[in-house]
Amino acid sequence: MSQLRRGLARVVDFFRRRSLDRDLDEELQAHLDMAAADYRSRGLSEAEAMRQARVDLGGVAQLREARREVRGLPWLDCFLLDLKLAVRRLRKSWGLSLVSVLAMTVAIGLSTVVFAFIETVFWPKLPLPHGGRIVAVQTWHVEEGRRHATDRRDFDRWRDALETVEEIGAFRSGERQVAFGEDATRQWLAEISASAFRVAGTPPLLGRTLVEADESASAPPVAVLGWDLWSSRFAGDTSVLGEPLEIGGTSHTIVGVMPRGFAFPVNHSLWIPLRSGDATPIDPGPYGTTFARLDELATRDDLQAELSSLGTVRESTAEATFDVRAMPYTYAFTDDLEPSTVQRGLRLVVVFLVLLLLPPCANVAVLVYARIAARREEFAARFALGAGRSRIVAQLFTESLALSAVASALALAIARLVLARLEQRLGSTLDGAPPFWMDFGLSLRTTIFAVLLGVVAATVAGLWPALQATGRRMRLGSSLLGSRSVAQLGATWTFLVVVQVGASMAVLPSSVEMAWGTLRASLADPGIEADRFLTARLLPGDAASASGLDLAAWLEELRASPLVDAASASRHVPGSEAWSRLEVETDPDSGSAETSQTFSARINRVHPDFLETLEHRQLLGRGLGPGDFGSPAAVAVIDQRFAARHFAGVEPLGRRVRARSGDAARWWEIVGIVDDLPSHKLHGTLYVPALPLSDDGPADDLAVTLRLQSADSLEAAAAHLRSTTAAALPGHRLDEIRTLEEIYRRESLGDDVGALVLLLATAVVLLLSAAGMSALAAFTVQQRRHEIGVRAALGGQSSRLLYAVFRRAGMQLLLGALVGAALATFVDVYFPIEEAGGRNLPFIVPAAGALLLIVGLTAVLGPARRALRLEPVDVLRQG
Amino acid sequence: MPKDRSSILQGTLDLMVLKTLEQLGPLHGYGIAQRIEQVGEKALIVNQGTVYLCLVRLVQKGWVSTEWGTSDNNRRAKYYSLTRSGRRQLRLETENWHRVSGVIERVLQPVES
Repeated sequence: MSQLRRGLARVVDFFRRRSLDRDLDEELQAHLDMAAADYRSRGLSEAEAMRQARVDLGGVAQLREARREVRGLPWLDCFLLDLKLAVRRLRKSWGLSLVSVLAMTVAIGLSTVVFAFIETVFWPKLPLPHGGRIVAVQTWHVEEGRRHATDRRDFDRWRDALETVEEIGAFRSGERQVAFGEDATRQWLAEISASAFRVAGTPPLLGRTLVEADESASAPPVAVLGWDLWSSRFAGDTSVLGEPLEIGGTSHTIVGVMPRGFAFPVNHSLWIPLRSGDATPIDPGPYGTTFARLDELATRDDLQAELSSLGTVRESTAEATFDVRAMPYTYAFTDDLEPSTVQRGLRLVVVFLVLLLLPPCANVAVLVYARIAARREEFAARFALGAGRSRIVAQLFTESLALSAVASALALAIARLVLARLEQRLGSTLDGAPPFWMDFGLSLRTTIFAVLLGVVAATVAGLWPALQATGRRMRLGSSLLGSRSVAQLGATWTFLVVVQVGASMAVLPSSVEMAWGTLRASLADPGIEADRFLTARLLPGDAASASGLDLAAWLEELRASPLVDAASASRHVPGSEAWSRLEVETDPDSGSAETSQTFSARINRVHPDFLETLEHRQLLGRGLGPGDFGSPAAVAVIDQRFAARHFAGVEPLGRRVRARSGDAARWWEIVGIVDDLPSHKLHGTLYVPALPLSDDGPADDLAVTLRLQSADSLEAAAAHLRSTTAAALPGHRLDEIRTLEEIYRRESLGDDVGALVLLLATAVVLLLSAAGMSALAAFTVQQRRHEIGVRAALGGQSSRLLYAVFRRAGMQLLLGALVGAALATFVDVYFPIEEAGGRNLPFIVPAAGALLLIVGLTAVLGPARRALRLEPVDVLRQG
Repeated sequence: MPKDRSSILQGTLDLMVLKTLEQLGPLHGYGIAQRIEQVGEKALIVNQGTVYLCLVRLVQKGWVSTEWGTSDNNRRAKYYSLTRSGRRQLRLETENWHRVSGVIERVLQPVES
């Protein structure tokens, strides 16, 4: 029988072990009966015959054990038994088990969430046929290390010349006003090459996709619907083909519907042709890119070689050179990060995540070691009965594995919740849905990562202390069962407890300040009466309605009500501004137009009186005056946070800032600084004049903000807003009528959750410290029982007794706390917490020290009471 | 137990069990143990329990098959019988045993002066 068959037979026998045991018992009983019968026939009595038969056969239990070694999977039997014993023991010391699981869950959970996020964003596979061969082609500004818009002439050359690709196309994203019957709304759509559908390898559900003929400048406008849009707006009507759809004021004919789940190039549900005569550059990601599907035998390097030889039509200068790069498709949407940079960073992150596990597991190891040391008599007895070191270590490791398995399972559950929240968040910020390739479910890779972390955690927290505790001294000492000084809580372990205390002391102040800074907006007074501000989004109707929009008249009518103090409009609702990539001019006098690194900040285009309506206080310079609207001069006002982050130590007034969006260099000169809105905790906000209304209606979305006389008139004010809008702007409608307070609450939810997680992690660290101190104290009492008994017998006072017992441990802990306090002070002085979004609290370091002292005293209270309750006579009798 | 009884090596027990089954046909474990004791005239120590471990190995290797039957005293017992591969293995083991024992015999012969 081959090895494989024998192996399989063992596996089958493992699952049949109970019935095999029953068979063996029956077989051996038959043997004994036959042997006893033979002995009876020779004249022995029944009892003697059976006794002799048993002697001849040998031990049945040993035989059963020996048979298990030969059949089945003995190692698995052993492991299951160890697991059963481990669960029993962990339930008995539920306090230690709970602390250990909490500590491991926080570490494994955090690491798993970060890994899952990285995997979703940076390591996704395109869920398209031949997704691995789809790449993005982008123009790069070499010196600045960032993407640039692609010249249409380059795209046309690539289409004609590239041989390493089967298909090539491009897209541009944008919002257009789309009329669905009587209802009009702003819709995210893609102007895209017809080849996109071939690149994606997905046929239509109904009708056809775009074809090359549709790209001609003179071709009739056509559109392809996504399944979501078709279901929600057309009720899945199959007769939609050939129907007109007004997009941006132009009638398009619907020619096809794509199947469910198709959202190429990013998260799109509406596609129109990218016209061939259009010379507008193709924006860099995420608003556009050139994409291609590699030839079957070509690699990305082959394509890169071709692109490098073709070059770009962009002219290079001394300051600016451009090249063209091919990269995995999803990297077109990960900001200005190249795959090599990301991979390097990610490798470091994964290593860091694993290392993140070490401190809490080392702390758990201290607790585990102290507990193992307290079980020394149990292990000494097992050594004496012939158990090997590996057997005992295996059992102890299994106990830790049981703990870490629970922690890994909890971590995966937490990761699942966080990913769902992230999906929701990304959906609301990325125009409705995250990119189609991002799968926010728990992948197999993430699950394996969490499991591996659990094994690492069990190794650090369980294997290491087990090896230490069952070392040579322990085994030698087993011959002196009942000896009292076999295991030592040596310098290493004491050092770890001290480090634990120091770490708690170091992180506690910063964590509390960070959490308070985040939670403050939710719990404390935001500084303005947020419930007195009513906001709403104005959704334009059809093109005819939009062109007749008289914004000023409408706002004037709103202000006419006695319920309303002030009213103004902006592109975004305050507190929900869009993020933009910006850069500031570093040295305006140099004339070199050198700019800072690109950064993210909120930006809002506002109409006149907006800042006054929101009761922004002018801190420096001036606000936006009537002359700033509609004039060629571009000015901006920034808030305090923006000034502090990006102009630290420099006068911001007179400096210029611009938005990075393709080639558009929209410079704004900063003319004033206002105070912050409560929602703008971390990143600043730039306020710029809104674009003027055009014949096609507003160029941007519109949001209205009303400052009310009183928060009690909210309902009435909302009704006034609806009725005035219906009368003044027929065909328009309002959406998301909410107070600023509701907006802040929603915006801060994610941050609040983060702050609570931070507090939880800090609490776990504190708990571990307390558990470590308690374990150290308990072990000290156990070790010095005899000494305590002698001192008590000689009439020692309780206070002196405790001082003598805990002096050394107390000094070590005090040292740890002092070092931690020094670290905390250093961090407080040199790394201002407010830059990270926290809030300074006075006397936080001494307060943290006091808290740690209370926690420490509480932790050692139990062992101290046990020490005082020791009966001298009992202790001395035990020797 | 006589002091000159020697312990059987595992491999030789396998050979004896296979041979017993060949000679006596299907037989239960007790019968096999009794046969080995009889033939060995009690010169070999056979802990009867070891016969069952040997039988488990032989079944795993496919040289012996099992079937439940009824013994002479009307008792349910497991019977073992030789398979075709078992017969082949017995032949090989016997040849091997003769070869090895022949060599040992020659080595142990006194040196002719």
